[in-house]
Amino acid sequence: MAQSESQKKQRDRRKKRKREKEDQNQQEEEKDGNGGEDEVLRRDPFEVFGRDIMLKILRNLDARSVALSLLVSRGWHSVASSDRLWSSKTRIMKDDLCDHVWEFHFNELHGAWASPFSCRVVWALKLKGIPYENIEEDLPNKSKLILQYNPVHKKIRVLVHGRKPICESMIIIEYIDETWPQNPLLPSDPYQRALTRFWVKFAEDKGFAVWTLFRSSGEEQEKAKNESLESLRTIEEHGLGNKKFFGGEEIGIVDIAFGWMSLWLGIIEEIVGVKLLEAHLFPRLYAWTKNFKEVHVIKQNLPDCHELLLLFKGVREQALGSSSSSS
Amino acid sequence: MADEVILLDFWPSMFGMRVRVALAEKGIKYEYREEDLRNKSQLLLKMNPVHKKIPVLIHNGKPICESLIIVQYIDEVWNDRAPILPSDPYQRAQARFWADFVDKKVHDAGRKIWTTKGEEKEAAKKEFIDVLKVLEEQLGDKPYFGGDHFGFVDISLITYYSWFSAYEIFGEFSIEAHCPKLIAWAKRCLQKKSVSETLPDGKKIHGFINDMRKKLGVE
Repeated sequence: MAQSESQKKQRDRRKKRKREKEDQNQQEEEKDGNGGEDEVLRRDPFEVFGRDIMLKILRNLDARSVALSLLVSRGWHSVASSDRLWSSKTRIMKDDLCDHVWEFHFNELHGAWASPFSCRVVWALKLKGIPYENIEEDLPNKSKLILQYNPVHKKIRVLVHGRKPICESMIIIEYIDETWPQNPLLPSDPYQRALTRFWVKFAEDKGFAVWTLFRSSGEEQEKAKNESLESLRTIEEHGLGNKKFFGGEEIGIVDIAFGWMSLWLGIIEEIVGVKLLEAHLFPRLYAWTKNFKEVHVIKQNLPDCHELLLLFKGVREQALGSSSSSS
Repeated sequence: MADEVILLDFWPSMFGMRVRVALAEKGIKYEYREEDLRNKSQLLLKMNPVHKKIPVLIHNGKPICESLIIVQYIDEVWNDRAPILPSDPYQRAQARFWADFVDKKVHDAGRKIWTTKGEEKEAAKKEFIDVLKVLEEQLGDKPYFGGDHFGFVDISLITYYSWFSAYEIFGEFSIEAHCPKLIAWAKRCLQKKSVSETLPDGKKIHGFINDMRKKLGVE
């Protein structure tokens, strides 16, 4: 919505300038200065609109929209429209991280600070050294920022509340990796990239079971438990193998995708009273959770364990309180 | 050294079709091997030990699994012709999102139409139409989801087209009546050789589903 409005504004501005330019050219050719209309168009817009309207117009302008509305040449326009030109200059705000999956699992956007999905995006940004601030400022260009850094439309939110939420966090991370190439999170070789994407998808598709385990009881919970254990076995054997991290010696996008296992899994296990990731059953994966949490960027950007525990306890009580079956 | 490209596939699979369309788009020669899903080959089990599913692309002995991941791989390796994903990162993210959306939403809703009865079926029909309507809205007035060119999202969705007539018969509804623009888009895609030569005839799919329904005991 915001994008089409700002695009419309740009189009109108472009049209207006074009008309002004055409009229100006025509006048210069005719050179007889007739008609009050022509006179107006040649006047200073500040005089015509007045200070208040001009201020309103100027307040909405940012460097990007000015660059886009100037009719210099096609080459100019194509450079001016490139995302890369503008991305490094603006800040990313926490609000820009739209978290459908968290909403889906927790039914509300409460505790966005606790969301492992938002955390992933923060980790990716921090690993690349991209300035990210947790300030809730009311910038006039806020809507533009949201669309710039959240490559997925918010209006899709309504349809995501079905049985399978679409997790954009991994799509956003690939976007981040492509936009800021330093400290790459994906390998450069196409085959390795395909393997990497395979495990990211696995993390997305199979991680679901643990949240079901958290929210349910009885038979449903038992089924979710078995599914989760099966997934852990696969990850330990086929995914991690003998590597320190999924990304090799350094963490990569797959480590980020499985990052929730390093903290959130333990919390769920404690609250539900079900042990999944046991050291003697999954030694390599268990070691990985320890190594992952020691990585500087991760250590600095994990939510507080105790607060997380309290939040999850509350949510589970609510989830069970509303269902008729008892565990 | 020539490239050795093998595709393990199953003819009615809309996932396998995606890979076939991508390979055709790029003009890549490959060996097609039909898998019997009730009796999977040793090669398939070895190449996709995690999921044991088709399609699997084996390029010079190395396996790649998951249809959309394979399509991206094909696009990255044979990057000198017929680009499938856009070059701009923002648009790539959009393309990935919508392809993911197709994967998660279209398949399940469609499947329920021919595997269930009564109220469940009606609910599935409604969900299916809702999902298609969202996609139709996303398409807008563009000739393809990829804009002027046939691209990633187009490939991810068009392969369901051969299943559409079967859904319509079992669901007793007309997709065109609800989503005319989408059907127009599908027909536009079918004008491309890579699509028309890959997608099996709707009647064949219908026959296949009939057999499946008997086996599953749905009548």
